[in-house]
Amino acid sequence: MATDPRIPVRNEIDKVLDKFSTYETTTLSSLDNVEAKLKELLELVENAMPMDDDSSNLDEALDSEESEAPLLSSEQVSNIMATLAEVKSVSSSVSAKHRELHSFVSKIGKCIDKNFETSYDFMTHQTAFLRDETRPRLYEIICNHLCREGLQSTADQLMEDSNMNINSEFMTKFRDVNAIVVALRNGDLQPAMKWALEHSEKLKEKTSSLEFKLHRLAFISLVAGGAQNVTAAIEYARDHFTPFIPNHQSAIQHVMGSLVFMRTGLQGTPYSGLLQTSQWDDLIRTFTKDACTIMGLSMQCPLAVCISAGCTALPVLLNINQALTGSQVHNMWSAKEELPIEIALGKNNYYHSIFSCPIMRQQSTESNPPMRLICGHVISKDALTKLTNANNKRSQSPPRVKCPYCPVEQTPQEPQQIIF
Amino acid sequence: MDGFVPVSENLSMMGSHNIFGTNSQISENDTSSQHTAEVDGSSQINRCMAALEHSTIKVPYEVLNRKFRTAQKVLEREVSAVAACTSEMQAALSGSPMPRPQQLTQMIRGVMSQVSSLKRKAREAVAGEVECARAVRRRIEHLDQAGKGSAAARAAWESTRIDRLITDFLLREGCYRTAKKLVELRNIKSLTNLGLFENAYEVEQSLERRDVSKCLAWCHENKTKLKKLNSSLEFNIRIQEFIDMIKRNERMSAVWHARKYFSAQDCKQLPSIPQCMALLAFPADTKIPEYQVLLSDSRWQDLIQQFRDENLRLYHLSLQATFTVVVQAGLSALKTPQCYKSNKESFNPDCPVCVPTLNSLAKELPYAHCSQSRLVCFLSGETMNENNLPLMLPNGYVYGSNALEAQAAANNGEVFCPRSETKFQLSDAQKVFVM
Repeated sequence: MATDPRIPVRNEIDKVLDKFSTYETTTLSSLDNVEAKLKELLELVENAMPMDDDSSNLDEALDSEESEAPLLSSEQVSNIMATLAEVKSVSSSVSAKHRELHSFVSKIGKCIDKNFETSYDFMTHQTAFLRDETRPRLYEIICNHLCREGLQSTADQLMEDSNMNINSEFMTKFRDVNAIVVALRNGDLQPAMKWALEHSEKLKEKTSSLEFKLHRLAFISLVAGGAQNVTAAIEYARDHFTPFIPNHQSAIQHVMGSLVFMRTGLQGTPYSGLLQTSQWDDLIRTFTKDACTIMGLSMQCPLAVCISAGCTALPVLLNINQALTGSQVHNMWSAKEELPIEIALGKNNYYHSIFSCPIMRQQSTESNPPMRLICGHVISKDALTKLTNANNKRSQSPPRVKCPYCPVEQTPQEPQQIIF
Repeated sequence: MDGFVPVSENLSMMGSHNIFGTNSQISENDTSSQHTAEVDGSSQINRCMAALEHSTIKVPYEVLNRKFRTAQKVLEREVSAVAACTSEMQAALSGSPMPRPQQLTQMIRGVMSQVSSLKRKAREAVAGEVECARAVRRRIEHLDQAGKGSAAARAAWESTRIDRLITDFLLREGCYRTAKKLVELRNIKSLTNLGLFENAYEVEQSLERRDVSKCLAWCHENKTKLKKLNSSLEFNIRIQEFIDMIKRNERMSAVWHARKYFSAQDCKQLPSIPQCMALLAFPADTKIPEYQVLLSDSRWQDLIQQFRDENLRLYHLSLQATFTVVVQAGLSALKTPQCYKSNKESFNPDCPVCVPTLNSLAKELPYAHCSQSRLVCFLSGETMNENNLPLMLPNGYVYGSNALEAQAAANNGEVFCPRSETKFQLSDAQKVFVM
């Protein structure tokens, strides 16, 4: 059970805030006391002075009274000295007590270093990940991410700041898609319809429901407009729904039924669902999916997915790195073909099939593909070779291979290479 | 806010790639959380925090520390001023002749004004320090929000994390204006270290213009810390000035410059001095490689890079941006042999590692480790298991029974293999058993 690193740090900070508060209320307010005493002192001295309007005369008068008794009694003088001494000690405590606070402040720093990971040394490679030739690609990825997030101007700024030749093919493609989405969000179907017409063939290839959904939404907008649209709505249906009948018959039947309620409005009827904004959201999703598919783009930002995966993976790797320290095989990052540990990223991150041979306990690769034995069981090519050789030692001719899972035998040529 | 509306929403993950547009209503409506990291278990969150957020907290702490040190110096200065005039008055009172009342009042007023100045500066200093401490706390409070609240809140926190990582990376790379724009548009100023890099950006810009004054000022400001780090930045700047003088054929000035700045260096720097001095003997367009290197303009870029590194070290920041570390870890965890097949037939546009740019970046990284087979149908993206049996077509390509049966139903028992672009009969498909 990993401890929460935030808690001890927060505690140290609260301690420091507390100390500062105490410092303010005690030490600094003692300065107020001292100020008050000095004020008293000032009054004392001013009162002891003889009252005379003509100050120049006063000087002369005083000069001539050099030998007279002093203005202040020795008791008063010692009071003044005492006050001055207090001023000195209080003010020096202001800086001394402040200095004492430093140990508490630096404790925060030590606490942070203790509880949070400070270095990623294990992730060193002979060739640095971030170097002159890889920089533009990393910047490109960030640009594309900014683009997807709707931060077009920031992406442009990055292209300017970076002084690099960044490939902006994605951004151009994405700009067009984005413009259509913006239109859809504003209730404008036209750009989307135009796009769908342009890509009609590809959409049909992928049996996409986009065109139908666009027409359906246009039809619903007419219906929702009220009884005066009756003719227009029916004409629209006649003109546009026909090609979709084979694939979307029941949907068409359902939506046509809404005509019945045109005069009274669709609210409160079984067709009220057709008016909801979720219809538009669904349309936008369908459009995005199809547009991205046709243009070969991913639907989620790859950088975001990658970072999310990295945030899961990094703690695991740091953990295993600690465990590996001290053992001979330390550098897990460069030399190895595979990471030393499995990182669970969740089903949503399964983009490819992975076959792990149960016999050799290795992932299949291009040079070691999965092979299907005639009984249907799958083992890796290396495993097949191993089993064949083991059998050959028994000097059977011709060589036979037995499936490790069932009694079926076959020749080494019979298993078929499969691609998942 | 820009006019563009984000197309891909973080919330609904569309599920794996769906080439044939078969019924994907299920995956579209699945809004259950896809981010395994923060959802299952606070232990996972704690590990994530510890692994990623050191600089998030450390930097505002360093700001606090610096503020403290400056405050301490200010206080000590003020305190000694108070002590000085107090001592003066004490001396006057104990000496003879006794000072006149006017002198006394003058001295008392003097002490009072020093005390009041001390008071004011002390309160200011403490206010500043408390604000810094609060800033550190606010960062922790933001981190506390991880994994809490609704799905939308969690997604927003993670989106902010991506912004923070990118901002930090951009600042380290010297792309200050981009970082500033991003910070302003996303409103994350208190969560990023923009202020810290603002000054650095100005220095970098001046160095780009071959102007060393700002950099020298920075070196002076941070003299003690740089000395502790054994920094050679100031020295290297002096060398560069020397070289520039030679380039402009101001050799006499160069000699004076050298006399002024080069003698006080410690042994570590000495080896480079003779080589530079020798430059005096060569013309600015010399063809000798060793001296061409010294005269090259790329030295300015080296200076900028050195400045960047020292700035980071000053704030005890690691030289590697967390962003690059996380991206590498993520790419490695996602990397499969299928992403690097020579014929690219397993290309999945939703797989980040298959995206060409990331594909080349991840080439030298380790593959993900997988102990158990997991099979994904190329047609639908669905997992292939007992509910979706893998079937092999006669040419060896395997697809899920669900997708194949759906195709066959719509096409008179015929199925189409997209990777080989061949048609087959469903009846020719054979079962595949994977343990």
